Amino acid sequence: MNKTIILVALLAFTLGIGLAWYYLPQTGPDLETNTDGYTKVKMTEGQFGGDFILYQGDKPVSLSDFRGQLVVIYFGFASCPDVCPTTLAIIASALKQLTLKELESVQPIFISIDPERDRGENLEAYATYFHPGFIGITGTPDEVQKVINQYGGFFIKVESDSAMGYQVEHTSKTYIISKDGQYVSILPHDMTSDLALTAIRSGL
Amino acid sequence: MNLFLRAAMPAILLIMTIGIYGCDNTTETVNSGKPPATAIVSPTAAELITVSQPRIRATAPGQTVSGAFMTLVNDSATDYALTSVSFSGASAVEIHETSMEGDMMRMRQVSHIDIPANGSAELKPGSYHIMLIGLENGLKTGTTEALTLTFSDDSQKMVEAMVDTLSEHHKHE
Repeated sequence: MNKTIILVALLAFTLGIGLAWYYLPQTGPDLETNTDGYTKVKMTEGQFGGDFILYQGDKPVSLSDFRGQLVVIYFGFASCPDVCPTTLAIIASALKQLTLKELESVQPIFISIDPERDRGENLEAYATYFHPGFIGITGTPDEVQKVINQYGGFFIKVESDSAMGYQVEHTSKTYIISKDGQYVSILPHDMTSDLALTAIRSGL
Repeated sequence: MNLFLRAAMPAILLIMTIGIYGCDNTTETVNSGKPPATAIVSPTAAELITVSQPRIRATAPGQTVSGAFMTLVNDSATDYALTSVSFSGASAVEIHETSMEGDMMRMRQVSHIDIPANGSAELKPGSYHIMLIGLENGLKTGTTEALTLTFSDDSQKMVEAMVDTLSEHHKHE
């Protein structure tokens, strides 16, 4: 009967939509290039990257505030003795090799994933110690987790017997957001200042 | 699901670490009986082990923790280990290991660092390091600080470490 055919077609159609909905978000971000040792990814709102709001002290700061500038983002925490300061120093070293004119269009941002210990003036003092251009921003642990997840990263607070108290384990990538806010360059945890400089310059 | 796995993994690894740490402690208690009295005094680890490039990362304003790094070379035929470190400027000193597991940067406390016979142990960013905790006065670039290393035979060695920004990964050491 005609009715059965329509019903089967409708069922197949619904199943197709369901499958597409289930599988498409899992295909991941659209990888643009992977030439110089880093990956460039197209931002897709709701899927990868995108805008966010965190706080510099009490002042809300969003990524879109810096449209027209190249934004360099690193997620870390001030009590991190090893990987975070190394990476921040590498970013700073790349920034110091830029001309003043180039530097004007770059906004480095340190996002603290440890808001319990890093806040207000301490966070700002820590970030600007590496380079005066840095700003330090953070939010509640949930807010920061949401932002780092947007960019494919992750952190977790781990209790320990150390005199330091808890540790924060985290991904350690550097993100460079293009001036138009359309692309993210993702630099590996063991990047050199030369790689950071190359990635920054290519976005200017 | 993936998020759950990521959250569960550190917990499992932490439990494993505590387990291993517990075992190590037991072994050490068993082994750390009084050394046999010998008429001939044999050289100690402090005398046999050479330390190169001792360095401490300078602290940022308000930062009260930092890491110390160095290479420990053991040219002797005996296995030794670095078991503890002391530093007058810190309220606590611990030995930690940083590691990258997948994309995650992890740090955990370890009981000692092995310095194998005719081998060496490298303390460097992204690997083993000495954690200086509770640095009230911070550490400034260009200064030197004295660290006291204690080895598995209880011998001690003092090293003068340069305080520096350590801005690049030390790959060529």
